[in-house]
Amino acid sequence: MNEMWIYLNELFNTEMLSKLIRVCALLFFGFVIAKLISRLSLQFISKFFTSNTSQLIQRGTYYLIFTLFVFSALMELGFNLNVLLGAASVLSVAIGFASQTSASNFISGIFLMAERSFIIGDVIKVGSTVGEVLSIDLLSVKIRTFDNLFVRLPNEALIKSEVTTLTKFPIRRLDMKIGVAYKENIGKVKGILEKVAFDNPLCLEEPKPLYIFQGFEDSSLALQFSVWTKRENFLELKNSMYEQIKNAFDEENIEIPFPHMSLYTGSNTEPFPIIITTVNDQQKNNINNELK
Amino acid sequence: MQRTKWWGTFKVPEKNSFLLESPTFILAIEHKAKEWCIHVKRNKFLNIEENENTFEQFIGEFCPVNCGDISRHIINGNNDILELKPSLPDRTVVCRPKFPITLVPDASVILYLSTPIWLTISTTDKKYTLLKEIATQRLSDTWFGASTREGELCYASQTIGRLDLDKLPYRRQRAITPLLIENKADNDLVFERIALPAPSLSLFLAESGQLWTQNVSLIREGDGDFAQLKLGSSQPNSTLISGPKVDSGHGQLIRAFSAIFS
Repeated sequence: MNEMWIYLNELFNTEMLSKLIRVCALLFFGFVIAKLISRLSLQFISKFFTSNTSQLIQRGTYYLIFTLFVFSALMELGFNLNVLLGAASVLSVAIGFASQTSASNFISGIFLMAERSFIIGDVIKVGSTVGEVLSIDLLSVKIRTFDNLFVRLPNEALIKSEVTTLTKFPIRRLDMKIGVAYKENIGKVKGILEKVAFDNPLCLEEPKPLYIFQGFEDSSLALQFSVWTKRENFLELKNSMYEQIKNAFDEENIEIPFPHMSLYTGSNTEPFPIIITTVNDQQKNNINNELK
Repeated sequence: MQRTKWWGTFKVPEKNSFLLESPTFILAIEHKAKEWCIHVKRNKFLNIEENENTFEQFIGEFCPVNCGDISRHIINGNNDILELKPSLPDRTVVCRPKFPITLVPDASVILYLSTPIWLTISTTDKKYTLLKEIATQRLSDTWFGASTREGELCYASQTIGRLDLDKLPYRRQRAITPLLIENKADNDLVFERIALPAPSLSLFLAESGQLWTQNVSLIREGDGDFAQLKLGSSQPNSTLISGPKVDSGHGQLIRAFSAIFS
């Protein structure tokens, strides 16, 4: 018991005690200074970066400063950091292998933020997923689809694939594929389409509507009519244009054909003749009995 | 000849309605308890030369029916005074003359452009309360800029672009802008459309009853579509009705002539 008391006394002598006090002071002041500097830096960097990026930089600053103070505290306690660094390098290799995907996502996220091809609030299309960007985080981008589903897209997938930002530019073009019957006058149809576009106030006069004759299809003449509108009015224009074109075609007796096919037995053969006859009740019963 | 104003201050007691009707535009304002209901209906504008000058006004105890879109405005207090005041569009108006115009170097021309006016509806008792601002004619949207990525959303208006002041028809629903275009560059100025910065202009009432803006000058000094905008004085013996909606932009270089892209 006495020996133990002597041992403890030697362990916590003045020099050791003062070291412990210095270590605690380092950790305490390290925490305070790291917190202070990170908060001050947030006020400065939030003027230049988005809220997500600012938060990221703030956290990085805090951890960097606090880690430096922790290393100082460890050196004060007499630890040989070379050993620690050696162990850390072995550990980092192991962690690196295990977290390849996360690291790839993290680095992809940095590049995505730097590129600024889309920001929070934009509507993007990735593959078949269309939605509004809710946040651009370290490892993934979160979007909300129009039917209110939450989708998480890994940053690595976004860097590798095609991303369409639907809300980048202020105006947008609506491409309409229209088929009319072969018997119709193409010039007349063009005039009707241009008048419908002119009468629709949502349709921009400039850039002018685009008319393209696509070709002769199996059952109809294929036309493309493209009109421009303010991005926010896109859906309303789409619905109103199709409705107005249909109404205009009906008024002018322009036919929109459904797919149809003509049958021939040879190159110069007349169409098959069809003879319609009336049957009396007796003949009808005989036919029904035969079918049974 | 002095024509009577079709706008101004009107007393519309509760349970009464105010009706303003023209061939292209119907405005009905219903006064209910602590509430004003505004009905607006526009007919399609058929021809820029069409006579818009017939107006019918009526105030009485009736309920507007089939008068188009309705908006309700709840107010504080219950005053009977309704004010109707003309104003200019809230966006730049791109005027498209019927035919392209070419100005040779050192030439200048004064075009008289007309733009449909807006109506500011408000109640004025002890305090001015703006209810709504509406267009007498729904103009088509258009884009004016160097490309589909940069530019601004404007209104499109077709105009004759008259040169002769004496042949200007009197039209109540339109404001006339005398636009002086000077080509001080070394090459021809060919343009199919002109951007008129309507929100920067003020509206005046001449003695004849016609609405005018102040004189506007566009001075082209270099190649391209940019010109210096200068705002001049109003017509003689005219009264200011409403000031500019935005900073006047006097002296600024603006993109004024036809958009480049097709």
